[in-house]
Amino acid sequence: MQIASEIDGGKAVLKLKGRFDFHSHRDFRAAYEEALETDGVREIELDFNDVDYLDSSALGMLLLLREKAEAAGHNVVLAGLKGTVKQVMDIANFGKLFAIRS
Amino acid sequence: MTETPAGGAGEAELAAWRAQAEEQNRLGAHVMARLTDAEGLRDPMLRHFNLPAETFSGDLLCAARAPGEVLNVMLADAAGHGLAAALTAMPLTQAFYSMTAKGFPLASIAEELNRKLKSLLPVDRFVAATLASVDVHNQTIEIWNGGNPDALLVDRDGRLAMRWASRHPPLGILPDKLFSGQTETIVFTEPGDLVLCSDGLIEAENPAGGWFGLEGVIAELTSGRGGDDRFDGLRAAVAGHLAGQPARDDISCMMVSIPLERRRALRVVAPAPAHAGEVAEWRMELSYHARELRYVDVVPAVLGFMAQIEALKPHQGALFLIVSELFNNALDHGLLGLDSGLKAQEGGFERYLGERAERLAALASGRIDLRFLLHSVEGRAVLDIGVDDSGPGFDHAGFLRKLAGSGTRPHGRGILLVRNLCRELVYPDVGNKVRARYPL
Repeated sequence: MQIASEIDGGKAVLKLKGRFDFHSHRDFRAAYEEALETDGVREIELDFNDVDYLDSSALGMLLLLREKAEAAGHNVVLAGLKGTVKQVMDIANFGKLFAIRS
Repeated sequence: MTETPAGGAGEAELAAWRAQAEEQNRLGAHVMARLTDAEGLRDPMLRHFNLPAETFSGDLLCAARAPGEVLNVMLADAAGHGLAAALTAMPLTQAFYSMTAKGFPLASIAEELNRKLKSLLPVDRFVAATLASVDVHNQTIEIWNGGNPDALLVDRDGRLAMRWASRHPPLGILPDKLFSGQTETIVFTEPGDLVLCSDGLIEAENPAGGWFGLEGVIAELTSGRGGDDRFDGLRAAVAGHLAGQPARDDISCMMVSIPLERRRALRVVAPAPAHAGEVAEWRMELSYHARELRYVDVVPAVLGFMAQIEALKPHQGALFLIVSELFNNALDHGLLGLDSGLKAQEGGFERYLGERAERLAALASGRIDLRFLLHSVEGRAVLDIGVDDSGPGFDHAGFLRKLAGSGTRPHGRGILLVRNLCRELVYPDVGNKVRARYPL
């Protein structure tokens, strides 16, 4: 999975691309840790528009991010959910755990 | 999966390391197999398969009969696969089996399983699970689905009669106060097959990378076969889809074949009198006020006390039915003012349950007292059971008269059963007190 970070004021957008699975662990953590450490950032938006698959370890990584972000007083928003990715998120009811932006 | 130890290890060291890993695998597989095997999985109503992607499956199947013949099953899918996933799901078995044996409601089991995993697992680990409770006697199917594909009910003619989508996040994520054990119950009026599966079945890939899909599962289940053929057909279809390739994820499936036995008497036979002689007296009195009634599972709690008494132990099945029937009547009708007549209407049972949950959550006053006395009467051991509620009572004389005439209505069967199991069943007052005498 490729990750492109953009920081715009109080919002960090991580644009994810490809397969979000176990192999993405290190890159994903590095990307969100950088965003969490950036001064002034209050919200992390994950853009899933170009993600074509995610597995349960990806869901686990989202839960880790959620915990770290909450501890730091940040919001996590999931955006651009569609197709298989949206299905996986729906089945796991992640809408009850994260803010979803369409 | 395995990495070469760093630092240019020699052949011998590598071989020793591999032997150790193999020994760990062997031991792990042995313990896991013992921990996950259960008599309940050989239930005649149940068929299942579990195809691990590696040596260990992170999919866990459990099944057991609750008191009163209710069949509880669980299909759990721990995130990931292999040993780590198998270990993640392991804490579920013990809680599932012990709570099922004690007659806890499905919602309470789900809550406990979640609590357990939440306290044991790291933040990024969780377990998707479907819990189902099938009550052939009362013709109900109750489901809690958190994170698994839809549970499906296919009727005898191969029609998809019901699907239960995942309504909750998987187990082990939410803290206790945010977790919901809310279940969905339906009444079935035809025999059918209830099918639970893990996402490994849905995402099973053919050589071209195409998923088997939930639609594939449904197409296979509704293709005209019934019973065993239906199950074998699904299994063969998945194998055909994989075309000999190893699966990327654990694939598991459970099918509960549900008969319709409307007129069948519940097979609870009181055991042969083992304590025909004198017994030492044992007495217990419990009172629950509205505040506690809102959240305590009274019946399993009471049965828990009784299970400690040697003389009562062999009678647990019968006592569960008697206590749950008398207690639930006191609560539903005495305190909550619910009308059983509602159950007989189309969709009435579901409405009854909804109404019950609402009124119970809002219950502000009232109490229920339970009394138990184990003693000997005329040289015969008996358990006297008394349940009093603070409600207004009801026309018990008319009720018992009507009951004598009908055994097939959806309500009133429970109390008939109590009357068959007990030597005496009387309402000594206006109907808010009931006395039963159960011979041991």
